[in-house]
Amino acid sequence: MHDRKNGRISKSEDVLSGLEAWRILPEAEKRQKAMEGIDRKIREKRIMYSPSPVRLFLIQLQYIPFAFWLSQGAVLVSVVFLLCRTTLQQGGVMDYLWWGSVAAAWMGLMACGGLNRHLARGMVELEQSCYINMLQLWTMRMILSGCMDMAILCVCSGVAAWNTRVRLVRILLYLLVPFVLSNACYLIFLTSARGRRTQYPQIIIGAVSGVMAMTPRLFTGIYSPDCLWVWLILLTGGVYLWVERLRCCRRKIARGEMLCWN
Amino acid sequence: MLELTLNKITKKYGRKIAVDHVSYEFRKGVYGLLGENGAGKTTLLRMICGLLEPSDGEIRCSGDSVDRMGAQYRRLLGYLPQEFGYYPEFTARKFLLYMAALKAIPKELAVEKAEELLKLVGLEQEQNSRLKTFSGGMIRRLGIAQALLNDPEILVLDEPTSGLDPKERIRFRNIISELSRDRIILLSTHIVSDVEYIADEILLMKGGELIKTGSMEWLAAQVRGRVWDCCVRPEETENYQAHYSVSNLRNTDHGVRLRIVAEECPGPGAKPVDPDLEDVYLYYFREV
Ligand SMILES: Nc1ncnc2c1ncn2[C@@H]1O[C@H](COP(=O)(O)OP(=O)(O)OP(=O)(O)O)[C@@H](O)[C@H]1O
Ligand SMILES: [Mg+2]
Repeated sequence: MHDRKNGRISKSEDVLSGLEAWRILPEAEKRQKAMEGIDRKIREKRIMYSPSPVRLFLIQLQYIPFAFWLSQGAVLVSVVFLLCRTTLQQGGVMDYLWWGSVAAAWMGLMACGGLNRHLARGMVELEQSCYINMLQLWTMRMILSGCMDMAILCVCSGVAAWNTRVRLVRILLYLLVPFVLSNACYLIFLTSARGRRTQYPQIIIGAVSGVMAMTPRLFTGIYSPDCLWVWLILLTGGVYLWVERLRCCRRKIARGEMLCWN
Repeated sequence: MLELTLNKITKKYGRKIAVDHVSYEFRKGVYGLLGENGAGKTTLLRMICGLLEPSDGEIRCSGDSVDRMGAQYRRLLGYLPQEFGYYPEFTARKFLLYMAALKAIPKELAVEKAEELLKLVGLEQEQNSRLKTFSGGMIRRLGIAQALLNDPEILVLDEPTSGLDPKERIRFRNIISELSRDRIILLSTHIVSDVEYIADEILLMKGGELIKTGSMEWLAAQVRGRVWDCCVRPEETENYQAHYSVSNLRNTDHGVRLRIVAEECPGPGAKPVDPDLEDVYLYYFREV
């Protein structure tokens, strides 16, 4: 594996010292030792291609499935559509929030959904045995979609805040709660399900969290400034749950519990 | 010197012990892991590949703990799982390029390598067909090809020949024999003839333990004098089969020819014969 342009090359010093030893000490045992030394040096000298982090990122980007971009694109298009519509109709903050919460819940799900594709296909065992393993693949995909989703949520909140004169932080809080909670729900499902996974639970969880995201509207006054503490508690709890489940997931993958079935 | 050391590695699933304090040192060469269903072969190989964490014990590669080596260890590795899923929309070529990317092989080299390997496993005609149209044996061959992509120093193949037709089996054996010179090749199988001629060392695994290890010749020597050849009347065969491990049975003009694995001479006219690996297997795995 030789590529001088794109990566670091690990080199050893010189093979000669081993050869010297061989020449001076001809006895069988010492000769054997010297040969081993040479062998080691040769092994060290085997040129290994170690891609830089940027290059790794590009490699992984290349193999992100089309479905991923499609789902992200669909979310973006629908959010932009709803955003324009609500703005044109001069809707109030609740008009933004009802679809915003559902979209946030769905986006949260998609951020994690990448893992399910690997698990459902049963290719994880192979992927996990490679240099760039499945854990790295998934982490990168989560960061990527997480960033995109956060950007979308921020833009939504920004527009809504601008048009309704409600403070940005408040709207962001209302939208982050379903986002984080649906994420956490999904991870709970992943870490507790046993056996081969399928794609269907994801759809069910999506539907459930979509409905859940709409329920706050049933409680009058929940979106009033007096109830902000409820949202803060929900967000804190959600983030805690999410981080805790993420670590559990990571641990399970590293130990092989989530990857190897019979 | 490349060496892979297993130090009392154990894997427990709840109360079940799948692999029980296995210690072994692998150096360059071909190792055949033989054992019954559920013996723990797959579990052992998964631990060697770092996919499963041992409940106890450790694995070292040339002195370093493979846990600590992480990606540096994985890059030495080529692995073919017993079963693997794939993205059905991938073509054979794209699948190999995808695996090459995960193995951090530069693009140009990957293209070259993929082409070479597709030819090696006899899939160059199908390289642009989608994987969902592939037969089980073709997927297996593709799996073997991906394991070889990074020219691995440690090649771990879990039942590489399952589902291969006889011609492909022979092709596989030739590939392995050509590779074997300067790497560790570890392959598990139930099919004795897969490893009989290509493995330098045979590891017999039973109930999570390595019960016997050694070269083919050495193992055969252990069983020498316990393999018998005799000719019996057809009505007697059932009786023999009930009392002895029969490794082969053939109808001839003079009666039924039996090959029997037994501690003592099974009957008058039985002659000791040279054991082969199948006899060795039967000797250690027979029900007693
Ligand atoms: N995830 C798991 N949970 C519980 N038990 C398991 C698990 N994986 C394997 N086992 C058990 O461990 C033992 C060894 O299984 P393993 O798959 O390693 O056997 P094997 O030798 O590869 O068998 P085969 O020849 O059928 O492939 C079996 O008894 C199996 O039931
Ligand atoms: Mg197995």
